[in-house]
Amino acid sequence: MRQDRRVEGAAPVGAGFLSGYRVLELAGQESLFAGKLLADMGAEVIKVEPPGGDPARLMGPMAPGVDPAEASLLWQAMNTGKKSVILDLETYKGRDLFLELAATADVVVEAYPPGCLEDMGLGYEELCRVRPELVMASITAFGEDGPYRDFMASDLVIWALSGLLYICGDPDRPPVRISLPQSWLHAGADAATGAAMALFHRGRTGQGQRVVVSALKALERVAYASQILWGARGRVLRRQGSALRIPPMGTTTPLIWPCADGFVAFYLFGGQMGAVSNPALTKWMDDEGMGSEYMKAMDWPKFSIGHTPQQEVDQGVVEPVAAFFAARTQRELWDEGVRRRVMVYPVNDASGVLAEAQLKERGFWVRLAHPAFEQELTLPGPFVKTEESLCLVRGAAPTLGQHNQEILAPLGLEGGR
Amino acid sequence: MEKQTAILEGVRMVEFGWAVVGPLTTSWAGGFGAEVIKVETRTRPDIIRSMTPFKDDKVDLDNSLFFGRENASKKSIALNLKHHRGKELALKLVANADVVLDSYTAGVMAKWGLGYEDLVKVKPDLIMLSSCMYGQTGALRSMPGYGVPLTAISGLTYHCGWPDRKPCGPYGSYTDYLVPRLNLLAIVSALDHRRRTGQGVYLDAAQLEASVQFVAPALLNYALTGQVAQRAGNRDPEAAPHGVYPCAGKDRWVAITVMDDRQWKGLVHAMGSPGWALDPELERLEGRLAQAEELDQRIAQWTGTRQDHEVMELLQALQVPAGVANDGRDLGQDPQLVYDQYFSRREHPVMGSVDYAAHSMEFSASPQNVERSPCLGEHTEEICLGLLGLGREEYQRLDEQGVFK
Repeated sequence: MRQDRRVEGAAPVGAGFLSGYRVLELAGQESLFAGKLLADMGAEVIKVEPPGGDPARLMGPMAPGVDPAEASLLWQAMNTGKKSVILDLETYKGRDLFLELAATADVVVEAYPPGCLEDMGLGYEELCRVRPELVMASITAFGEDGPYRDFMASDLVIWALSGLLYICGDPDRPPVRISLPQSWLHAGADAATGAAMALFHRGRTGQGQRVVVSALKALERVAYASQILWGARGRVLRRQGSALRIPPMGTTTPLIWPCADGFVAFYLFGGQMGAVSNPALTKWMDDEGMGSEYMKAMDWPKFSIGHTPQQEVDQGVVEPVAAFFAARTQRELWDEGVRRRVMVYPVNDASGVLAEAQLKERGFWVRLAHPAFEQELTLPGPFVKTEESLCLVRGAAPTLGQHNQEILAPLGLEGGR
Repeated sequence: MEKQTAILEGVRMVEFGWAVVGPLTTSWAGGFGAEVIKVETRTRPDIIRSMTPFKDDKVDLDNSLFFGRENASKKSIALNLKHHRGKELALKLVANADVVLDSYTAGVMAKWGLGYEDLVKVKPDLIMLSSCMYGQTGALRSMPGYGVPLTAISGLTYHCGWPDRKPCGPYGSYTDYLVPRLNLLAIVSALDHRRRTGQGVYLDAAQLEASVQFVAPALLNYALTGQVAQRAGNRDPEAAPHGVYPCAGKDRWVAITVMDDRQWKGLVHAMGSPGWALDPELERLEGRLAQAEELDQRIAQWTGTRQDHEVMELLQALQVPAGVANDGRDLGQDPQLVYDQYFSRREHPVMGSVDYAAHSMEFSASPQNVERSPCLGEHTEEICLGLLGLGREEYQRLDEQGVFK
């Protein structure tokens, strides 16, 4: 058995922040990001999959012409650096095998519906019988207890109840989410943090414990402004779309502007906030023969949008700026904006993010070979850099059951069942 | 019951932060027991001390609810870092700390003589995390910025909105609320690493590099296949119906998502099995996706006359994912958030009663205590006379020299 794991001694230097810890991650899309982050941090993360594979292997986008069990690009993006074993937790034998494996682990990450693991005989207390100092990180939609405990969840439903949905979107249409699911990423990051904190605590006290994350609470935090505005003034914050409405006159200015090949983001600030960008933009427009007399005459630190009538702001600033942006590409505006200290930014789609020079210059992207893919996979690199590379994307996602032999054989177990 | 020890008890963090990302990272650590000391100054106050909403609309550096919400559970020392004694005291703070966090653009700390190279001399096993927009290296390292543009650059804004319109983006500075999660993960992992190896570390935390993790599948897809993901309103390519529907009342909405065929049966049953919903084509996902537009209209007709809570309860009882779109007023009364005591009411000397939010995680054996946010420089004297070991006379002399402005 892996007695060495129980010793809280020196970690292998240079490998990773969490090197030497073994994490078991149970099936489900909700747990993917937590496990991925722990793997980036250097933990040995073992994905425990049912015989047909984790259902998240079937979630799109799917790569065409690739073995269906490996084709999910969500899967490929969220499982880097992990190992995979197959254990059927629906059977008694599978559960016994899992308990053997749990006895060698430091952390279990899971997102089963509340009470489900207990019903299977794999609840935290049962696991602690085989591994008393175990840390368990549970990701829930709404908490493991309370009125929403048994509610069915989805990304959009969590957005709704968290308050975030209500404040996103154009005012004349229903509230709207980000089309790429986000809830489990926020909750997953928190679960990874909780696991690392519990390991730190265990190292200092010898005591393992359970941490429960609520995706509802995690997303409420993103909706920060909604609850505090009610607390401050008893006012309900409403969605404003891609525009900013400024009291007291309610003058509205765009935040997202069309440009020649897409969109750019530019906040027209008044006062000190716009004291650098606004004069610089005025000069830039003038230099290129598109100057606005109104803007040239403006004493920008004294410009107060909320005290200027809508028509004046539209004719004097918004329309000339919109015409200037519309005649230039995202890259032209971004590159020259950086040079001139004008805060105009690209609204990047996926191709734009991949093209960002700053990310290339920092060597951010990683390219990973995967046996099911002919091409290399390009993925975001580590979310934090250290000279010692203690956070690192450590390899492609595992194929289904790839590590059965490596993980289960030393325990005298046979996998694949 | 034995007394619970907070996980980060005994860990001291010094924050040179402003706006949201830096302050929220340490605020969370404070909730889990770290002693957080925020270094700030009246000569150039943290920008969100001047940002709305203010309690009762009263503009004051100690009255911003926005500042309060991101700065719970920490102390504030006012230090004028341009004064050499101010810098000296900052170095002494760091010498007595475990973790330093800064969220200024690259180079600012070094300019003050407080860069990692300077700090590690007074604290050899220091953990320092620098969280700026674009990272400590590269052409953009000293570009200022904030969360709204970062949300656009990292690809999130583009994917929020309707396919027939320009993107609207999520509300406000979205990335400001994902980056601190990863910053805290990095800090606690570094603390455990130091516990095991004795080594400190410098962490270059580029907010852009944290943020693009949240669109990773779309990036991989583009790099591999050339397909550019598009915003899709509230639709989902693998579920239908999947949307946000109007309810009775002004601007009231409920989200309903049918993730499988069984949930479709539940929705049909809840609606009273109307004839149009019994079309056998609709029993399978492909059929529902093909008629998604029509389904959305039909469901909106059904929800339109009903209370949002009524629709949610009815559907959830049939195991169909549904949720009310809570507004700012609803959140304080949401049954689950109330049950969890998610908001803690604290008395603030200037703001009065304020509800502070907790972190999303709860530990079984370690507490989370959310304490009220500090006034600017509230703990200057306490920290100077205590931790920094100044005598009262010297403290007063320095105060007169403007060191604590």
